[in-house]
Amino acid sequence: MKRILIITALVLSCSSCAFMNRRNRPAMNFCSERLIPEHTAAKAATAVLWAPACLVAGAADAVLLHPVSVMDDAWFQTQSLVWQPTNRGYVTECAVFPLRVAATPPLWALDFARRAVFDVPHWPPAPHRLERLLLEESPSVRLLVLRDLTPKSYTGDDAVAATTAIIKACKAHAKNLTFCETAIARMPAPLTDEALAYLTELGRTGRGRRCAAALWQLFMGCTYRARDDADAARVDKTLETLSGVYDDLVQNGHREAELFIAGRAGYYASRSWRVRAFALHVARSLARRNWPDYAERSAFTVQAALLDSSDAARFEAMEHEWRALRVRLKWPSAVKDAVKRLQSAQGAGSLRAILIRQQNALSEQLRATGIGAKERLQLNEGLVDIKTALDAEEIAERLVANPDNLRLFLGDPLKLLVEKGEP
Amino acid sequence: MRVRMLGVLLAALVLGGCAFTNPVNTPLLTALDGVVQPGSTEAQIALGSVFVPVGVGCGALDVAVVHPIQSLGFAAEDTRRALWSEPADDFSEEVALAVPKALFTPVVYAFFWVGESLFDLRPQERKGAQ
Repeated sequence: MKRILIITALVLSCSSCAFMNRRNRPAMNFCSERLIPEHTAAKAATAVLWAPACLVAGAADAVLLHPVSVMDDAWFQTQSLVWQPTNRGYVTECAVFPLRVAATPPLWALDFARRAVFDVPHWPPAPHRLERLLLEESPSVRLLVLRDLTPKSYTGDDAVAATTAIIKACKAHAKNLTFCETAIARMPAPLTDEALAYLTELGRTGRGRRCAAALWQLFMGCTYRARDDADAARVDKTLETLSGVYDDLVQNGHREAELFIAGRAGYYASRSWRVRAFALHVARSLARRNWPDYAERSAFTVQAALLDSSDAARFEAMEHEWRALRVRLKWPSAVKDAVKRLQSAQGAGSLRAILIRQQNALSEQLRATGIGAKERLQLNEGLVDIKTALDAEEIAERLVANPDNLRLFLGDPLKLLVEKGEP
Repeated sequence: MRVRMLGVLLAALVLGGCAFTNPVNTPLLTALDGVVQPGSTEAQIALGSVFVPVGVGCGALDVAVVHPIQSLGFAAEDTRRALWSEPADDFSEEVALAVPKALFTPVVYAFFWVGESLFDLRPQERKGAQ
């Protein structure tokens, strides 16, 4: 019984032994291709020469070449297991740092030993294998393969080839929207020229989930932290492409997509200077178009974020009378309230006349002599509140008069973009 | 033997959804994360010599003291639900069951307390409780 068990274990381990796969024997392959003659007679005659050479090559493969070749795979695996950021904060990262340091050597050694002895497929797969997996495997396996990739899985030439494979798979499975979204999100960063061209093509359609994924990936491409000058140039090109796509969307009237990307710019403006540069591009475009009503909410978010983080924006704000300079941050909710009131049947209608009266009264009080500094400050604060409400009232009246603008103002841009349907 | 026990415990923690992967269960670390946010990589490296020991200390306190204390209430709630929430239909039956229930309460409480302390059993409820 024991013998059977041992034989079974041996067969099992030999069947997946690293040495059984030709790819894991580079030196032996070299010997068999270059040293062993084709003819049987010559083979037999020179066996004394090539047989020891092949043996040495085999030993070198087993002891040196194959183990060395799997070192980086073991590191990749250890890194993805132990060194993924917690996304919680600096102190938590500091707290887990010693644990990570302690766990790395044993985990690396275990994975290295596993890969050195057994035939474990390389991960991430080589680009040509990735292409085969993404094109030929079943839908669920395709998704699993993608989900195990990150934008940093490939670098250099591999990144270019992997991008080509991902785009080819996206085109082949264009109807599978979940697959396309996942694939687009996993494109190697920084984005290659081919990726930029493909994402631009999708982004310009201005509708559907793939467009949203493409715009989001272009946007995220701008937040990538460049490791060297070449990377920085690629990220700059991504920013340039995103700005171009935004201008195209504006020009072609794809308002949902325009608002989606403008909103992201406002939300993530503090993340990197490139996002701030793009947000400023958006703000300038809006100012040139005299702050269209449908984009007022995104515009306000972008203005508020930029005023908080960019000196250049403050100059522009003065020149173009940015709304976020004149009113309080609660302005968007004030507009929503005003719209609700104007739309309700029992509503009191516009409060503009009342607010103007209050504003005049406050201004009158401010002009009066003999008020203390504290009271003057309180009156000024009150005046800003009234101006915010008045401004919101005016915008709400204009929005209620134009249902399409109102839909864009109140709606979630991503939802509206997806609801437009696929191109 | 001890090493094996530790290994099993660690594996169970990792596989079963360790409590400390949820920021709500590490209040000290989470509070410090909110306060200490060095901007540049240089600042992060420079502050590392201070915040690695501070982080480890706070993490250890969260694991050994703060979170177990946090879990006391949850364990009591679990115990109440398990033993005391559904009274028997009959009063005499209720009286008869009261003694074994009372006897089992500390054991069940200890079981739930250890569970609540080590695993993230009710992430949503904990978030609401904060």
